[in-house]
Amino acid sequence: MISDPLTLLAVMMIILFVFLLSGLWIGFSLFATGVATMLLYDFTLPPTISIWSKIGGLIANSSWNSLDSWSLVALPLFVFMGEILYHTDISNKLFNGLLPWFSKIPGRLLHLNVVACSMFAAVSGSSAATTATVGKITLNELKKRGYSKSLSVGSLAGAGTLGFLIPPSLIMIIYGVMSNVSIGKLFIAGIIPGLMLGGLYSFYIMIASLIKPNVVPKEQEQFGLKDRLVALKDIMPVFLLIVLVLGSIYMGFATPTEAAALGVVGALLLALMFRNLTWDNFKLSVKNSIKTTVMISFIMMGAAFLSQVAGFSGITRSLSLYVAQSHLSPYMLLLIVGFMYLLLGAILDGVSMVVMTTPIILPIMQRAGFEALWFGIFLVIMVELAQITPPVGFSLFVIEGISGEKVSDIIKYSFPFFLIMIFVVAILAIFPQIVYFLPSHMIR
Amino acid sequence: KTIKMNLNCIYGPNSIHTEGAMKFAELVKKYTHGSVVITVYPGGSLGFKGPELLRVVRDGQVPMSDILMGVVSGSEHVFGVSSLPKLVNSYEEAFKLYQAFKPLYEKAALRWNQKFLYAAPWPPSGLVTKVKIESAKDLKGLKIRTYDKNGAKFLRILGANAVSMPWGEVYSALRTNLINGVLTSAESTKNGKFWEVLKYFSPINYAYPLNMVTINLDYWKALDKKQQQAILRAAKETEKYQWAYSEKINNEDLKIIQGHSMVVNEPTEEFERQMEKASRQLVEEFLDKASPSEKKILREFIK
Amino acid sequence: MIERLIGWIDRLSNLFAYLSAFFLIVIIVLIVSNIVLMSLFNKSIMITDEYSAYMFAAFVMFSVSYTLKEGGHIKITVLTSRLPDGVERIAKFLTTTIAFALSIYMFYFSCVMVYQAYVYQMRADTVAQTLLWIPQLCMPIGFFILSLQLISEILKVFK
Ligand code: NA
Ligand code: NA
Repeated sequence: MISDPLTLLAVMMIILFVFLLSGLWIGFSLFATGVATMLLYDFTLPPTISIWSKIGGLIANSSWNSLDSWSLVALPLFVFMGEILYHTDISNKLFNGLLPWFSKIPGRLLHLNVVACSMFAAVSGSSAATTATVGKITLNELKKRGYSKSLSVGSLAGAGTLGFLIPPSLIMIIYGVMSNVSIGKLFIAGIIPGLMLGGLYSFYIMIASLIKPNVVPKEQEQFGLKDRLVALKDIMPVFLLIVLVLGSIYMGFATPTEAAALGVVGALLLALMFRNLTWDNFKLSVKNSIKTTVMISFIMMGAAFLSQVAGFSGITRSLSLYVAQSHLSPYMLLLIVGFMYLLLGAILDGVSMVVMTTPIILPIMQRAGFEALWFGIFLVIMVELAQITPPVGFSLFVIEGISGEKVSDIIKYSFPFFLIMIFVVAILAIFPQIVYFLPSHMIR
Repeated sequence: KTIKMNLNCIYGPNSIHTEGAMKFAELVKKYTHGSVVITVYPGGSLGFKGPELLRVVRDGQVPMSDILMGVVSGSEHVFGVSSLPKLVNSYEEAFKLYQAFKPLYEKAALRWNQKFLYAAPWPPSGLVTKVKIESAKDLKGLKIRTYDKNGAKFLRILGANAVSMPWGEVYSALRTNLINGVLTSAESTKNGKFWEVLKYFSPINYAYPLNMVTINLDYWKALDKKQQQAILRAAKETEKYQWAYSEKINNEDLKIIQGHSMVVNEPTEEFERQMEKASRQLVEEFLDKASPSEKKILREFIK
Repeated sequence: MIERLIGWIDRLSNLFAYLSAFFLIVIIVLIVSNIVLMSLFNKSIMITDEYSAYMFAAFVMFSVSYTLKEGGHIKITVLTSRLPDGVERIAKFLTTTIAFALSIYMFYFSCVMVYQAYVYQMRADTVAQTLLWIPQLCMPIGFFILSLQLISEILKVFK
């Protein structure tokens, strides 16, 4: 029996690693670790309640509550949309259409993930959906054309997380409600840091391909202005789709989740228009959407349960309080808090991270002089980082799901992009005006 | 040995009921001289969020919880009283209603293996809209977000189109004109900074919904007499404080949203009559399903 | 005999995957209808968000076993793939058994949850006030087929 939460945290991490390395499915590993941690924790229970039924009740309830969620409904829809685009000619067309436009930029189509993710991020509220949709369209094509695997997978992992930073954003909504910061302001504040992050990813790709020219395929066709204009025709379908989805949100016809359903219908219509929607394609798209969505959701259920175990046993609280009680200079505090989030992000999902730490950490940060709006953006990037850190990193799982690459390789490939995110956090800490610029100009 | 208990709160750390729960926890610690320590978990971070709460406390999965009564009225009819529309029109009346029903609340809680500790009201909901509402005519065709069956029926009777939508999507839906207004309190209007997207607040005092805090009976019985007494004392003080605080904050919030150039317009007499009619219809529906003792008290109250 | 059992379980998982596909389509139809109604007639199908979420839950629970069968659930194989064949098999047997135990555990307690929702006629706190045991029924069903599929996977280890 362990009563000290920080000791319990260490034990919990060890148990989780053992389960994961033993080859137990990730979702099950999370559930098993949660159960084990509850059993090890020193509860004071009245005699009528058995620990087994307490854990059982918690699992059943938290699983149901994490599935019974309107905002999660968007996940299968966006995944389905990506599948339809992937299994029909549309993704191919997108490539042919973009090729001439990127032909002069070092790294050429490697920028595709960054551009496409930034665009899809503006449509979907979650990183998992963004990564899955874009990855489904791009990864195989890039591989087929001979682009470097490490850069294409890495840039997908990095840019996919923009789903949370570029509005609409699930995480910002949750944080906004908890912190009393205007959700509208948060949304707008995320735009510049999001674009900055995207820009830096592209910059890195350029540098990398200048240093190592073999990351892009050898043969390079020459394209003139005419080719580029003709190519626009091929980009049109996807462009229209984005206009449909974004337009329906911003013109006030649909909420972000509803817009996902419009996206599916739009993708189906496009596929019909180009006459390559076969019954087999359709069936395969549905099948793959089921597999990808269920895989992610099952892990989410496990992560939600584990997060609640961390809550019940006081782990999250103690860790946050520990940070709160050490009196530090603002930057030192930020460093420690950032480090704490990296640690928590290793095992928790983003929503739980925000829900459980905000009440304790935000007041401390405000006392140290950080504004709630700024901290929100910081927190979103921390959540994004958590998406690509092992052992529980949703983007890692999504990419493994769609590409078949090994998780360990994906971690390696995404490391440079991880560093870029850290770099952006540092920049935002030194120049907080970057965060305030748009909100102060656009909202009273 | 100190007894440690978790208190589950479904609302965020800055919500008045979570703050109340924290105050309660502090008082309990003080009055029991540290022998009972209650930890408050805000934002539903323990994984429970709605209609299951009565059962969750009954089974001791969490020893204590803050529960919005309306949310569990599907399991226990009497808990639906405080969310009936336009039954009371002031904090004073709301308190009278609460006192009248308290014995039934306590009994209902006992049926669910828990002890009722205290209850306090949310600030009353008003109509927050883009256009000025002076009578039911102005509501015609407007898309108004509401959160429960009563609200939806009430709005529909008055001629508006009720829309159900998660709270997190409301702000952007207002911004894009997907919906034209919300049925909510000045407190939520302030917290959501709705002056950025809406113009009018009509304080119709739609309802004063109660949140209650209960404790699992097994945990309760495991405490000694002194501890129980101390907890009841803390509950009583918290309740008193929370009722006053809810009213105070509502008045302040109305001033704050006016300070952000929202127009607070009292409903006209005509509109009041129209709402009264809508309300009576819903109260009658509630009475149809009520137990004899509920009927007796409620009839007595609306007489 | 064992072959037939495995085949039978696999077919059951496939069957439920078809149900998931059905729910996916219904979700899309429901949401799109709501958008059309809202923009043309200002009317909202008040249950769109609530029922889409229920159907999403069923969508996931009904296909957890199918996804398992198709190898869609991820596991980390850095270590186990380096083990000698026999040892790897034992590891696989052990982990699948743990998963089976968990699945049975979750099956039992989701039954308890649904049963209590039924006994107490618990309703959702939404406009439709749906009886909760109905949508929640997807949980025990899902964990039941998942447990069967895990038995099938255990049998496959020794095939
Ligand atoms: Na986004
Ligand atoms: Na992580």
